[in-house]
Amino acid sequence: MTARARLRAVAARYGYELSLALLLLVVLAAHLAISETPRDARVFDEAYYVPAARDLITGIATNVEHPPLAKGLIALSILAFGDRGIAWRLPSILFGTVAILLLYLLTRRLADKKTALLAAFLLSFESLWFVHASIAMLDVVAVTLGLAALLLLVRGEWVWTGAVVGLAMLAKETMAVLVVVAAAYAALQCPPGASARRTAREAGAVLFFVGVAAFVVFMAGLQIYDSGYDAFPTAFAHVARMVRHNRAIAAPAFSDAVHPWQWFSGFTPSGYYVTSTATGNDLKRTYVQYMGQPNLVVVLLIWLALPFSMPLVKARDPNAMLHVVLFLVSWAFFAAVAFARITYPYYMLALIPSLCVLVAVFLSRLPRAVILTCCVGVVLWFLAWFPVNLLAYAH
Amino acid sequence: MSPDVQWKRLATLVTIVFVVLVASLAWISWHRAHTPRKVVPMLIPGNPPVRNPR
Repeated sequence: MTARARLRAVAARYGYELSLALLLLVVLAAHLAISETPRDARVFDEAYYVPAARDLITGIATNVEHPPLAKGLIALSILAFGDRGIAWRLPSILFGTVAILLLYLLTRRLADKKTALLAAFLLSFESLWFVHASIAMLDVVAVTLGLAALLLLVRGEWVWTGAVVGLAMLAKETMAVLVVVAAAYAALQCPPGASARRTAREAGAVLFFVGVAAFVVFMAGLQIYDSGYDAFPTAFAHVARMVRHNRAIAAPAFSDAVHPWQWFSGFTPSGYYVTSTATGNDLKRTYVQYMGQPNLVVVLLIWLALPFSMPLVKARDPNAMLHVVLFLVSWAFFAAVAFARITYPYYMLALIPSLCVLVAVFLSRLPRAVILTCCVGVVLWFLAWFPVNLLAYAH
Repeated sequence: MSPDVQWKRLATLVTIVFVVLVASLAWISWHRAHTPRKVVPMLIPGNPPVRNPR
């Protein structure tokens, strides 16, 4: 066999895996390239979480309205690499990149390699995911742990699913919604014609095992933090404080916030990092970087992908069932929350991996030229809204 | 997987979490007992401490 033929054979056998490896390398390199921009300034809510991580190192309990795991990872990174931009952002970068791999593995298991690679590609170049995986916040760490939990759920490991959901909740409490997602997925998986009683029993069993395991891990993790930092006498008191904090935040007027209704139709993006420089002759130039905006080439396709998925759900396709349930349950959760308190557009990060899978399923049925055109559009949008503007650093 | 297997898994998880929790709390207590605490002077209302005695 000639070298060329051997190369072709390897490409035919491992083409998807090699493409995924290349994708992961490109994403990781892009994250690392901008990880020090800005080096000493903080982007968006890094203003809360970087000081909270520093306080963790010095033994002070702060920012107790959110659980400590993601902030603890930022603190460990600061201890390992020093108090600088790349150290603050490294946990998000690593988890954000691992999420692409987990989404590939999950979709490969439930669908096929082509859909899996397409979903991984869409998540890689989804602008909001990339921006949040580039900054020191909690969401990407939490959602990535959530994806790991889903991988265990589809293997039927309910208790370990719950344990990882508990860890995800220790990064951000909103991941508790995955317990409901797991139960709804179990209910949908019952064979057609199953009695309501049997469906309720199946869903109830999953709700119990996933819920109890998540509760045990979450409360134990919180108790270790509360005892170690003298934050609260018990984890229950800590949870009560979180609830009080969220109830104290009012819901703004409908027109004053980006409501979950608007997440998938485009909205005015907010700039996470705004700087201005004097360019001479008293002229000031303002640079808005790290925009809180999703990749609309991906996101708008959900209006076609979601109706397209319904016949697949009816046909009991496990991939479509899981992601339609996750997408709808999570969205309904945040839509309900929006009546009680403000919701921010980046909360949609919890739905983004499922959105990418549903769009990938839709695209994978289309002719190759259409898929390629969409992929080019996705990359062009990603580049046009790339978080860092080099002009801002030219002066 | 059958509920029996899930019960066994749950028992394993609860045991692991219990051991980690107890070990962590024991270590926290030991660490506190062996770390000298900073003495914070108490501020008495109406009798503020003199900041600069000069």
